[in-house]
Amino acid sequence: MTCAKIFSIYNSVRIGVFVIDCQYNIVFWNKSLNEQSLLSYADVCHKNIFSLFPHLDNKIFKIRMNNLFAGGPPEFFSAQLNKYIIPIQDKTGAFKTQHATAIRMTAPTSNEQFIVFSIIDITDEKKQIDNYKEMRNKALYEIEERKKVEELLKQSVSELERVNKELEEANRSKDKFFSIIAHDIKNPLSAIMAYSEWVEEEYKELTHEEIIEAISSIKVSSKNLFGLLENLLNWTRLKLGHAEYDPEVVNLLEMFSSLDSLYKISALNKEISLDFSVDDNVRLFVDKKMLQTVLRNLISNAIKFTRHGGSIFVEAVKTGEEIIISVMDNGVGMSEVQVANMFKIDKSSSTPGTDKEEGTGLGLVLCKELVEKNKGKISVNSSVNKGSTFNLMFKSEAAF
Amino acid sequence: MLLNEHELDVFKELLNIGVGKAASLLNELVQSPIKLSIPNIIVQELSVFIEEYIKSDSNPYFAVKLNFDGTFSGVAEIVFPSESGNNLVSVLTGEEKYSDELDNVRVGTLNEVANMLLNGVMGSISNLLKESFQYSIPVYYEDTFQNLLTFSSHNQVILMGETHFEVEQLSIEGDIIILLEIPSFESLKAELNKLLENL
Repeated sequence: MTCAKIFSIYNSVRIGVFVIDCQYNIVFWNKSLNEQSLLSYADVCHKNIFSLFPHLDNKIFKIRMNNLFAGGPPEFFSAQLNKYIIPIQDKTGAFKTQHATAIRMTAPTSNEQFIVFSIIDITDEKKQIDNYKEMRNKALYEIEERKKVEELLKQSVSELERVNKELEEANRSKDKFFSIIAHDIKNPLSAIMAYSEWVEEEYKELTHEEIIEAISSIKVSSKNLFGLLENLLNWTRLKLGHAEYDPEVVNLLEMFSSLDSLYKISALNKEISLDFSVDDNVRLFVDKKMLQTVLRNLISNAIKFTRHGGSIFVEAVKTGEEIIISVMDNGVGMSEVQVANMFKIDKSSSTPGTDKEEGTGLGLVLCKELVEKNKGKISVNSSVNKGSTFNLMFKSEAAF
Repeated sequence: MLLNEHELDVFKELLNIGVGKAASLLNELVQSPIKLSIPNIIVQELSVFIEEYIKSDSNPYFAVKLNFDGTFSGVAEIVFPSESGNNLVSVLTGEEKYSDELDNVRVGTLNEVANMLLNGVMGSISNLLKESFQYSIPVYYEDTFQNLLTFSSHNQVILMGETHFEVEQLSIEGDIIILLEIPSFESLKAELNKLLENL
């Protein structure tokens, strides 16, 4: 069988096949390749492959062809690394993508060497793969976008929850505010009014002692009312953000001395020993008025809840990087539930003192907010019938 | 020892020359510097090799096989762990890896790289031993390592060069394998000794 007859078998296959001889001249070009490339056998017959297809005229292609002619294994040319062996354009003018395989063939009679190229058009397959990749990338992009939206939604929900929490807290604060106005202010004011009316109406019949007693009651109720209004005002200012924070160097020795003068009489009235102790020249960098309000509340509470003959001790010590101010009493103390709720505006409640002194429960809530405004912390240790210790802790950057 | 020290040295040299040629061609083709080395060679009976190294390995591998026939006959193949194969295609084509499997276009790339490596090795063996072989067309497979080796009897010898590719700071592993029936292995051994005598 002649080579021409052998090669003509390739006319019956659907893939493109062409054959070159060892001079790189084309000696066969099958019908499929003719149809695909619009080049007939007559157009390419005995023409040099490099002059027809200059892109093949390169070192690497020639080395691989020479290896093949020298008896080496078949050579495979992939679409991704070579794009194409034979440039065939589609209707749009784009080049078709091909895988190609080259095998050596020896003529049965003349021993002449040929290389047979088979060209497999994978353009459609590549398009499908590209489409799949595009769809996949689009899907991945959409998933990514969705994740971003979900994340934003999550953030919005969390922000809403935060705002809602703040609103709830504000609402509870408002309720407490009205409760104080409605109830706690009314009581001392009612007492003042009742005693005033009594004295006014019964003045002629009242004994001197009864009049003194009425005036004394009016004085106590007025003091309570004043203290309450002062706390209410401070707390409202804080809540509205109008509280002016004006830190300065505060000498605790001086502050304790003035507090001693302020509460000496009240303590004496209940035969309570009130003592102060402070390490030499312990000073804080805080808002003086705020610290005074806190200590006034804590000391007046201690007096309120300490029985006749009890003791109160106020001290300030510097430990490492902290300054701790403690107000300790051996009074009635508090239960765990009371301690747990004492700094919560919506849950705090006032308990009458040992001499039935009144209050609103607002003082400790205010203390906590004022201490925190000064970057400090407040804590309490208490047990029923043993007493309470309130600790104010300020870090060294706030301490001198 | 199926091959003595000298025979093993000659075989190593054949592999290294073949891989060197393939590396130089690959460098021209993909314009990314590729370094190829064969740090280790294993020569063992196939059944022992499977028992010792790969019996419990169920990971997927990609392989390209080339059958050859001549003074000695067998199969030359290159086997990549799927991750390595996929990475190699990505780094050579600059395309992002998008799947754990290879599509037909990407298979083509791996096929061509494996083809060039196997041709380099077989060309080197053929040239130095002055033997000519008939070859099949290279075929691509995906399977476990064991299944990629046990296509015929276990009564074979495996000659395996662990191949290390360094491309763009990526380390990619593969194995160049030649599987020979015992008589073919004896023929190869005889050819190696002929070469040694002429040195």
